[in-house]
Amino acid sequence: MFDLEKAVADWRKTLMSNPSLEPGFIAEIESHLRDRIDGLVARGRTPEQAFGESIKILGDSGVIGSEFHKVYTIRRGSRPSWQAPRFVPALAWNYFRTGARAIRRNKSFSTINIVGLALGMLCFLLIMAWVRNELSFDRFHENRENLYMILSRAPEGRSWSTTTYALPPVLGAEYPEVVDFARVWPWHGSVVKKGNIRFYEETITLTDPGFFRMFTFPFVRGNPETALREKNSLVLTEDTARRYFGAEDPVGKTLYLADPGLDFQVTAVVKNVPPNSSLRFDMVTRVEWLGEDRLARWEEFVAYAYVRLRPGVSVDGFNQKISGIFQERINPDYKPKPILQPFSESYLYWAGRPGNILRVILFSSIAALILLMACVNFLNLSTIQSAQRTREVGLRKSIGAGRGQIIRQFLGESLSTSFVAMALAVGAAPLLLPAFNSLAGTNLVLFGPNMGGLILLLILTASVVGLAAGSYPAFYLSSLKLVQLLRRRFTPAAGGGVFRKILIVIQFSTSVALILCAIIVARQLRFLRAFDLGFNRDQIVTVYSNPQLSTRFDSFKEQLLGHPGVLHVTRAAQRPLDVGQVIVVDWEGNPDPDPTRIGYTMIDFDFFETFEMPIVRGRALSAAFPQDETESCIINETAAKMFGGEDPIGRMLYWSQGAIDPKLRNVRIVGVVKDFYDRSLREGIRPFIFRKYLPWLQFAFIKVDKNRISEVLPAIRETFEKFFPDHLFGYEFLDDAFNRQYRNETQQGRLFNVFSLLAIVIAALGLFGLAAFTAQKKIKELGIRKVLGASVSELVILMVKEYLVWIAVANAAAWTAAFFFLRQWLNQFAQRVPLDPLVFPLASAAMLVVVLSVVGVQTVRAARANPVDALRVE
Amino acid sequence: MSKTLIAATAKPMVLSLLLKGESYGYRILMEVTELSGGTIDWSEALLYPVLHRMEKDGLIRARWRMTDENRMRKYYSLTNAGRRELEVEKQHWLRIHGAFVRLWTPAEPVEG
Repeated sequence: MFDLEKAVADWRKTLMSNPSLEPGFIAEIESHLRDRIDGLVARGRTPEQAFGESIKILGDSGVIGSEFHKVYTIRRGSRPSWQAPRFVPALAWNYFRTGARAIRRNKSFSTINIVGLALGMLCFLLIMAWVRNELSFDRFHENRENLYMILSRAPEGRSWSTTTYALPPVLGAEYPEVVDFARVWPWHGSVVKKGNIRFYEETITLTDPGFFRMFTFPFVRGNPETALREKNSLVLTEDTARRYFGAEDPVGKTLYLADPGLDFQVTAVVKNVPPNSSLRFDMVTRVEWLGEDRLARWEEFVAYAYVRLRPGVSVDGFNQKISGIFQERINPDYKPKPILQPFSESYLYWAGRPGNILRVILFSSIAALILLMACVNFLNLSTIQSAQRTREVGLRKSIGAGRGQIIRQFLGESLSTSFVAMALAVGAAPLLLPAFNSLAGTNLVLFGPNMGGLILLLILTASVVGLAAGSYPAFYLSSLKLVQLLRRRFTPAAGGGVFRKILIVIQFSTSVALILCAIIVARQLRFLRAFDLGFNRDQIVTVYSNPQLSTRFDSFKEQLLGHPGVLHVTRAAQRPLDVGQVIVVDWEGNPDPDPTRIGYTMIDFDFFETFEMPIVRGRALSAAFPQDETESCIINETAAKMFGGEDPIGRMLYWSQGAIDPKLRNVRIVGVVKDFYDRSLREGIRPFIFRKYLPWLQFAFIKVDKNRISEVLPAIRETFEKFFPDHLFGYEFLDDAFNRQYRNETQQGRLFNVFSLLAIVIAALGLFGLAAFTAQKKIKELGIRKVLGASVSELVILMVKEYLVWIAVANAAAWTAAFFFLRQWLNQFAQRVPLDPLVFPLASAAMLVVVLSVVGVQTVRAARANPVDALRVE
Repeated sequence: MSKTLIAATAKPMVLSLLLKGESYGYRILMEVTELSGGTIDWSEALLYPVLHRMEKDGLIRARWRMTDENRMRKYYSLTNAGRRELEVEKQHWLRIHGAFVRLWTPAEPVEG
């Protein structure tokens, strides 16, 4: 039975608990309630209904209370005296001190924690600076939307990044869609002189006048229209101009290029080429220096060429339109088609294939993984550490701290810690950047444009990590009852087990995968360096040629050979390392209707002796045979196979190259040389042909005695300067040129080493935290087991056993990921190390050792402790 | 009706109601609802603080009195200051009212 008086009395009690309602107010509200109930009863409600409706209308006592409160306080919006303040300034120092004390109490733990996070962030910052640099390549051109590179594609889907010299001018002249075109060809090097100032310029770049109109290379002097008007116009970069002219204005002055032996007129100076440009040059002149004949060729796919399309032209439509152009010009059966690729993509997708972009994706994911690992570890370690502060929370609560205060205190503390880590990372990044740059062979700037996004991302990360790390004490501990908090020792609740196991899987698999990659990449690089290319590249000094070298070479060679340290001297058109070119040869009885493409280079006598390339049949070229000057050639074994089982010696070949004298186009095979690698080991062995052809010889090669290098180099220099006083002596060991071919791989290898080391360090930190956590949680179990006679080693095994299944899972993941990545990576090399299955368990074992030692140290520490201490806990 | 408008009108409304003689919270609430045809619905959390503030400012006077139903109830009545305040408020509201009336009356066509 409903008792109105009792209901009203109960309701009055709830009002009385509100500090802003004085008894007088309550009496008034109560009288109001009764009036309302009477009114409702008069309208036919039962007293119970009337009471219910009335208190509902009156609403929550808190609302009434705070409204009353406002009447009696002077300041509007002030805090009622019974509510704890949001922030007590007097406590700020105390928060800081207790926070600092917590750090001091666990000095090593806290240091590891902060440094670990900072390390992860640092790593992330550096890698992302690199990634940003890679992605920014070639994006600075104002016309980038309309710039395209002309690629060539064969019907079987193979594509390459060059086209023929003849194509771009035709596109420019006959197609209204094309605004400008530019062919770019790295010409030979040359000594360049201005009075007494001489330098050897490695590359003179040849191009069309459209080059400076299409691409944005800002002019310091001169302008794009007049820069390349004449054949002997020369455009310099600022640095190059300063080398020759100092502070003088170079425009209108001349520079003498020893090769071709003419004066060039400087017409313009452009700003230095930015580091994120894939087009690089110091000195630019007209492409016509290659010779009209060469530029008119339709079948030599060696030119890098670019076009600028009219805005709004559909590139797909244009590709369609020009797809038959080779067939029209050459013959209907000709296979390749030209295809335009957006120029801004040409760096990341070289020749239309994913190239650098794979590295970008790979390294960004490594960066993200490392950052993730560092964050998760920070979170985990912080949580464990703050579990020790339950009594502090208890004390604060018992002397009147509100839950909100505790939440703010701990979140503030963890946020400051994560931001300290971030500040450390951001502060250390510029200091470590030079080291990173030399390691990665880059020229990165950390705080360039668009860095804002990255910093914002870091701030966001620091905030999220800070909030997450502080959430355990802030939200969980603050919600506990005083009794629980003030117990002698509080053990953090179990649970979060899955989370911790995922943690282990991620960290372990990342580390193992990185170790695997580091091992295999290192092996492959060692393998490449030791690989027998089919010629000996050791102790060979490469000397750049000059026009006088060809006229006086024989006496120069004779003089050199007079030195006991010089073993052989020869010349060639290319280094045997990076030949690349092909010609088409034909012979009587060639079964293939298509002429055969074959690699070639021009050489001088003594070539095979210098490089120790064995002749397997016939003979090498020699001065003893006068016909060797004009019509003898040497082929390699692969080329010999083209003749089926027949003996190739004595056969005539037709050398169909427009650039050489028609009288010299029939050659006779006099010898077969053992197969060798004429390009980097990414490519395989292909048919190859050598002949003597003096005009094109660019390099002199001098084989020296390795025991006399120190005396022989000055001797070579002296001889060179005596013979060619107008020229600069420049040399390089062939071996260095070889190593340069694998610079990308070497860098990648070094980065893998650093990253895997970092990942291991961070993973070890994480495991350290986990082990500490588990040991703390199981301290009583360990104590009891010890009392019952378990040995320390048994306890360690017990602790590790729990994680073994998950480590196995992590291994499986790491092995799979590393296997697929490495197979892909190794596939780019024609010669590669096998994916040794032994390496996989090796990497895992290495990681397991880390785990065992980390977990072991923690457990041993816990297990060594006197069991009484552990068991006395409650 | 917006909360600020209700709050602004509460004081002159209460003063005007008390001009008829002393009254108490519940009745004031009912009368306001009735006067406005149910469109103005004050809550207790609005009314009582307003009453208390006016009492504190000396515009109204309160006293506890035994009712006919034999229970204590707090009655409010106007003080002289309250009457004067009401006159001022009345002037304000009439001026505002006049302004709105002129604003919203359609302009008569000008002759000639």
